[in-house]
Amino acid sequence: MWTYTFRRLGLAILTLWLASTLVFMVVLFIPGDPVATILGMDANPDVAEKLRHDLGLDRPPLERYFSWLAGVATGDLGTSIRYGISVGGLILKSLTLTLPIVLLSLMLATVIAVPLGILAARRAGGALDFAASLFALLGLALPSFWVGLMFIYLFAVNLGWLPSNGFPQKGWADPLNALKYLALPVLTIGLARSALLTRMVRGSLLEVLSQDYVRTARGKGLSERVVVNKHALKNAALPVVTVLGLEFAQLLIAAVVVEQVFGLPGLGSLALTGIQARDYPLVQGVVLVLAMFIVALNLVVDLLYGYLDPRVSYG
Amino acid sequence: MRKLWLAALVLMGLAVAQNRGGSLTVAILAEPPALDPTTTASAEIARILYDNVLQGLVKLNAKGEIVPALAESWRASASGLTYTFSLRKNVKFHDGSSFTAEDVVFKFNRAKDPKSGHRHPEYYRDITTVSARDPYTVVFTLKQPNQDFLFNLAAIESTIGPKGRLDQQKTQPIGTGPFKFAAWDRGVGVRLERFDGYYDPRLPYLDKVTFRFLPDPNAQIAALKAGDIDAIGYGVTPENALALQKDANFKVVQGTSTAEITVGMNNSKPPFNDIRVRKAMQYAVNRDELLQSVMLGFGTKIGSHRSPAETCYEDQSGMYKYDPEQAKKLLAEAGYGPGNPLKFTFSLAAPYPYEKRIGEAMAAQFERAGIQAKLEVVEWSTWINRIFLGGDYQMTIIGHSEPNDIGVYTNPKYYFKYNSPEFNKLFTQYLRTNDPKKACETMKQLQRKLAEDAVNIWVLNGPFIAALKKNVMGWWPNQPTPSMNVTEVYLAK
Amino acid sequence: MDNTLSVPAPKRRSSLGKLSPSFRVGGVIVLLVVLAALASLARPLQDPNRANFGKQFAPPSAEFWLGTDQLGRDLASRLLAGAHNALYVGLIAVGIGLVLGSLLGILAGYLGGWLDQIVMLGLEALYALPALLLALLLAAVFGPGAFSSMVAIGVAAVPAFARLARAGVLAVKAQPYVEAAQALGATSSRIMFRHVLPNILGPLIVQASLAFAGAILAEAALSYLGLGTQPPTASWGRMLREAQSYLAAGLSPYPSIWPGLAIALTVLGFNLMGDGLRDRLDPRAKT
Repeated sequence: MWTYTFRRLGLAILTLWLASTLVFMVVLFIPGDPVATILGMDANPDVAEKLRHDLGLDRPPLERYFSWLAGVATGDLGTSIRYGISVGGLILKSLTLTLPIVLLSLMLATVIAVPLGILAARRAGGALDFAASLFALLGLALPSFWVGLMFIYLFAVNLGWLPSNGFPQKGWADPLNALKYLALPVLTIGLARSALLTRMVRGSLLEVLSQDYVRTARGKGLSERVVVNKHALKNAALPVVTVLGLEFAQLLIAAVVVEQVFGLPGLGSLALTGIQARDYPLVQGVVLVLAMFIVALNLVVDLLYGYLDPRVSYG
Repeated sequence: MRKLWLAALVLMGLAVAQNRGGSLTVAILAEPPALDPTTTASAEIARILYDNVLQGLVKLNAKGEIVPALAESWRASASGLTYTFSLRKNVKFHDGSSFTAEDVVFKFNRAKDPKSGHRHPEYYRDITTVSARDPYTVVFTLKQPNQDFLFNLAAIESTIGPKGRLDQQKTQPIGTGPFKFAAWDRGVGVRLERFDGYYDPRLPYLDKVTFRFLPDPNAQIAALKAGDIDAIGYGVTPENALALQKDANFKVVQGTSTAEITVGMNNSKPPFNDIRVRKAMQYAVNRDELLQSVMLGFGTKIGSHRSPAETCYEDQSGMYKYDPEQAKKLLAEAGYGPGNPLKFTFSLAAPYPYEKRIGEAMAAQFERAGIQAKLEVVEWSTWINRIFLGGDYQMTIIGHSEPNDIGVYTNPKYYFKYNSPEFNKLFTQYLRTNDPKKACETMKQLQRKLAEDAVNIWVLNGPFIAALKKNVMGWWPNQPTPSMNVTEVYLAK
Repeated sequence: MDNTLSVPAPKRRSSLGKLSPSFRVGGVIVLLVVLAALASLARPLQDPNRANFGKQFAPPSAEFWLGTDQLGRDLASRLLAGAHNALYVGLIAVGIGLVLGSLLGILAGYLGGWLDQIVMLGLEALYALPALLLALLLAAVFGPGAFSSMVAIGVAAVPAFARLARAGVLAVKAQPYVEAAQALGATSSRIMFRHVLPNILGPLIVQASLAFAGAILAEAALSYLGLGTQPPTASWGRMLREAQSYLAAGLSPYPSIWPGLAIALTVLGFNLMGDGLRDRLDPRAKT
């Protein structure tokens, strides 16, 4: 068990290193330089040269790569070219917006998907099951940014119930108000993900229900309700928990796009600004943090799975 | 009659006095990288600090006129080679120190030195000496008369801080304005506070002003409606302005800016090295349509490289009336026709949605004159490097927001690649005269000359659109220079 | 929804039964979209780029079936041009993912050893980068435009295909007939193409269909973010981007409604087709 954990951890770190190196290389190939973007139409060759030197952009790529890597190893993601302050600080700040969106969306998705999935599985083939399947198909097919637009039109423009865009100045100092601004984005992402999750819950439960011990339980004359609630659910929960972990990563990505719809200054906006401004340290930082979330969640899910399911053995 | 006037003035003064105090939050679209205008290029610095915090000897008022700021008055010699400024007395910097001629001398000796890191040493190229005759008199001597001398002194780059203070100005600017810099919360905003030691005891009316960075126009609208901000300082989109005009809680300020939305043509390469082709392009553009469709009625037609917000402006938009047939005729003369249509690439810069939309609409208009423009969207850094610095393009579109910038046409390397000895001669006449009236006439001639040569297509003056809560008074109606001037803004009670 | 590029894990059961009416429904939808796009190429309703100044934001009418946009362009024509664009980008992107991915997967799976290890580690790293983010970066490298979208989406789809192909190869490799072929002295390439490829074709086709749906969503997302297809080419995502501010200002909802529905319908079609195909082609999915 311990050897497996360590091996798995080592692999995760190797993966992260590879991913970040890949990003560093890709970013090197992005044409244009940040100095031109900063100076704009005012560009004067001497001033540009000085700025390029101050930003360390005249150093060879390999040297930049190693100093960046050394920084990352000590938890320093460097200084943003566009903002002139620490990339880590910028990312932490944007996470105070993106993480709540992701967590709330995940909660919403779970609250909808688990009961719906159970109901659909219990009456597999019925009308409700069909509706749940349809819901799942729609959730997969509707583009989130469009759903967000429609919500803005309905709830903000027409009904005027909720703000359409942005995040209040006071931020989380006034949590209720802040939540009002997150309502539409969370609804947009949460509904979409719940569609997918419903499908998973249903599938997972159906599989368990077809297994021998459930048949035995039924054979003993237990009511369907007891069979489902006492026996099947517990076992069906395992894959669902796994999915929830992976879902978190998907939600982060969904948030990147949906943040744009609602003008929220989260991780997504940071990534886009970074790319547009050719702010190399910022882009690398954001991508690394996202990759870290994904790799870490994969790792946790893997380990948790083994821990929860005695059938999984480690070789 | 005169008494009545006086009474009215006193009443107005009283009304304003009653409306003293309060705080104002203004949204601006971007965050500046630093706050020192002498080292960092960013219109946002001027928007936040110009006249509010940082002042120079002279300044531009809302009408675009040059008026006294730290200099009470000035006198130019008959030759135009000596300028004598009498400074205001009892002016204090925000750090409590006194403003004297020493600060002025330090400032301009540094500014005119190309090695000092000042961004625009060329503004001060003609200055030979700056000297303090006494603590409140400064004398500038020039190599040659320079009509733009005072204008350059009114620029944000010419504002004056305490002598010797350089690096700290980047993050904590100190000036002499009615507001002092209080805090810069990165990513959030810049806060200004009332400066009690301001030399005009009437000003300012407000106690606190916050400039909040909100990069998304729609988020700005949402924040305004939610009461998070009191004003959107500039850059309200036409569609949002239209919607806000219907809302009784807000008012929309709509005026002119210094931005000429310019369709740049490469005058040195085919097809636009042929003046017949450039003229045909002018006839193929219907500015009224563009204004009504893309801009939803906001903006002002222009026909040359100067904006109606500025002085000595002459409207050239009527020189070429929309006439696709005339365009076809000119193109036929130049050898283009149905068998051999005029084709070129029209490059649009990715970050500017309105210029992109105007470009798209213009391409549709060109088609009616048998002209085929192939649209190409390029990223900002590509635009700067390839088109602006490299001159590698055929046609492009961008807003030129620098004020008083017709002089760029004297530079044959500038991306329009326009090279006209007559224009250059005319510009020298303008720059070197010491007769302001004559200079103004020449400035109009310059605008006419550009239009006659059909160098570029100047489409329209980018509208200045601000949105305010109903009780916000005294907002600048136009933008003769980028400035969210709040020195005389008050909240009606 | 925005895991657009990664494709959900193959599920074991079709939700709509064994006869897979889902394939038929999906197929009909896809066929309709393809036909509409082709028909618009052959005989467009109107020029999708023709501006009708003075007729902006028109509601649906006999002249403009679905209304007009901010330049008075016919939304129906632009929608069809957008279909053409989406299918084109999707086809190339999926092609890149399928060819590159299967090649990598087959090679890694069949040859095994250190090559397998390296390829799998590389794919693992690629997997750790959110596909959409990877696409954003690649779009920045190649400059905004349809071409970079295709490449970006295609490259981002490689890992899914490669994993599938590799897993398939490993399963087939263990089969007695492959061992027999090997014993009979068949060359590696012969074995791969004669025995391995036909056996993993099914899952790959299923994946291609699902990836097509993902590619259409991804293209729309990239274009919505301003990094995909550029003017004047009509793209569903960019239409939405441009329409958004007019929608929020209450000017006209139509330019925002249709492109979203078009994306949803097309994606639904490909997803249903993929689901249905899986029941037919993917032997592992049989219950």
